Amino acid sequence: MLITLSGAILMKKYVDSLYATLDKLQEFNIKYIKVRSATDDIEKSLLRLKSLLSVDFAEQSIEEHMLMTLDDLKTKAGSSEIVVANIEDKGADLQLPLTVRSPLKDYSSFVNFVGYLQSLKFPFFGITGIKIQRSDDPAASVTSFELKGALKFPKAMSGVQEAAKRIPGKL
Amino acid sequence: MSKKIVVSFESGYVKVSYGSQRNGNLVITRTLRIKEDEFDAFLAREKTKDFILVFSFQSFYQDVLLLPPVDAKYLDTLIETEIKKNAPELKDFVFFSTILKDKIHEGRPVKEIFVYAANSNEIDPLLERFSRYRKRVQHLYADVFALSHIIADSKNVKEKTILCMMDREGYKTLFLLREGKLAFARSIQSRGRGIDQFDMTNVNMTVNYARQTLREHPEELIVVSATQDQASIVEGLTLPASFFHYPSTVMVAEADAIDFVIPIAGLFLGKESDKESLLPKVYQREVIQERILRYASAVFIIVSFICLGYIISALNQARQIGAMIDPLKAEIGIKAKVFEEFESRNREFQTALPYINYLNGESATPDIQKSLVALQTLNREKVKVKEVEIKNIGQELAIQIKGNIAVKTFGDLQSCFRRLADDVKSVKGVQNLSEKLDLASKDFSIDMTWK
Repeated sequence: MLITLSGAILMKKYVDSLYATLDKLQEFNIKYIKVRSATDDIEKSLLRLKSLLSVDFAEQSIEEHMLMTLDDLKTKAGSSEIVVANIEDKGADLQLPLTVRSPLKDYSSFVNFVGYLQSLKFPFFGITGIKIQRSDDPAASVTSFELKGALKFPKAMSGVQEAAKRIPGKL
Repeated sequence: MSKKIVVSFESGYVKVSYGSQRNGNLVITRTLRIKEDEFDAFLAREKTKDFILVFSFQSFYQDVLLLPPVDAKYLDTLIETEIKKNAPELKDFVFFSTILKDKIHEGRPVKEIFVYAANSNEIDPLLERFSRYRKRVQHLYADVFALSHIIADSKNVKEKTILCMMDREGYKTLFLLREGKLAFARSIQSRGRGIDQFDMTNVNMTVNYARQTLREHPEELIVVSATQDQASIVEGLTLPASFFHYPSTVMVAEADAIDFVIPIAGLFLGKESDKESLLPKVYQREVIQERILRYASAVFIIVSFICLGYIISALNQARQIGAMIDPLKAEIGIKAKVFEEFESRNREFQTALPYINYLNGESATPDIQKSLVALQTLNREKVKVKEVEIKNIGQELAIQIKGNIAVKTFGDLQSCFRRLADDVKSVKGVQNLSEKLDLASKDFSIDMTWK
């Protein structure tokens, strides 16, 4: 009886261990699916980030790129007066403060211009304030606006670009 | 229905009766009369394991003791002490006792107890014979005890005091029953079967002893194991005599009725008589131990089979689980690469994470373009907006609108301003609106936050 009892106990332990192994393998399978999905998500995120980065850091510095964007902005702004300060290092990013002043001829164009500024990515344009004013002269009735903000670029983007470069099927 | 075998040792013969209880009746199914020296052969071929033994002790001690009322668990010890005191010749003995009645003796409450003790040496060789053939003696009863029960049941003697005589070759056993309970027993020498002048004298002397010493007054003499044909009752008995007849519940062949009265009386005893068994305590312990061992063996075998069954079932399970595990194990190598790839991608993601957070942070700023679109509601007749100031204060925008309403009456001024303020308030995203209207200059000011 002792032999059969010992045998039964050993068999129970063996079967329990097999069940535990099976559970672990099934858990591994579930994790495999989750990990594969997480890897896909990471790839998607990095691809999206890369698509937003049109900068080639091997050829251009952040400052250069910010100034090139400023040139584009000036082109979009047309005859507007743009007052630019120096590029400042704010720790996490570099900022180029600027003020745009112009008579407000067409409100829709102005709204579109603000939309353009908001859509800028790398560098971003952070609007700190807008003031629209009508002149006190009742005869002239001129409306003007003043838009204050800064072009902002996070520092050390080269690492990100390197990561994005390894993703197959990217830009 | 329980089948029992009773063995009785009588005058060089062993009488065996087989019987069973059916619907409250005792049915004697078989009887055997074997010479004592052939008994071993009988035991060797008999398949039944358990026997009941009825024994006629040649020498015994019997007495009626008056003992103080004590707890039942101390009674046997007390009786044993009394027997040792009264019968010092019994060195190693077995006994049974019957409480006859409670009474007051010399002003003290006492229990009147009949005791019957016999020498163990007489039964040890018998028990050995059974053990030699791996047979068990379930109970061992004194013949007088077994007979007292069947007689008490056969006649209407439960309320009477009667004297009984077991008629045997060479000796007679006399015993007294009071209200169906054994109260006295003795063996007397005899010249043969039946009652002759010599027996009659002995019976009369016993009756006198019962009357004078025991203060018992037997009303009748019942003769057992002799028919009227076989026995002659001599004139001159001081008691009316009759012959034993079986109770109506005992079904026995007429040929066996007389010769097998003692083993049949043994069969007649029920479970309530277990405590009157004269088996030595050592033997009883051995029987109990053997029974425990037997049950334990059975349990062990059952458990072994259960374990064996479990092992077989577990082996099956193990095979099935193994079949499920094998393909999963084979895939580990392939799937492990996905984990390595994840590790690599995750490291890259961690590098990019601050910039993703930066991007998310910038995207979370209030949408100024939308606020400008919403402010188109200000464009209306008679309302001249002089200044609009929008400040980005983090999670929301602080907007201030200043202007003038060009109307002639104060009533129109108020209603026009009210409409304007209500319209601004109804714009989606506008919160914490505060408004001010100057009646003198007709200038107004509206402050709000926009999210």
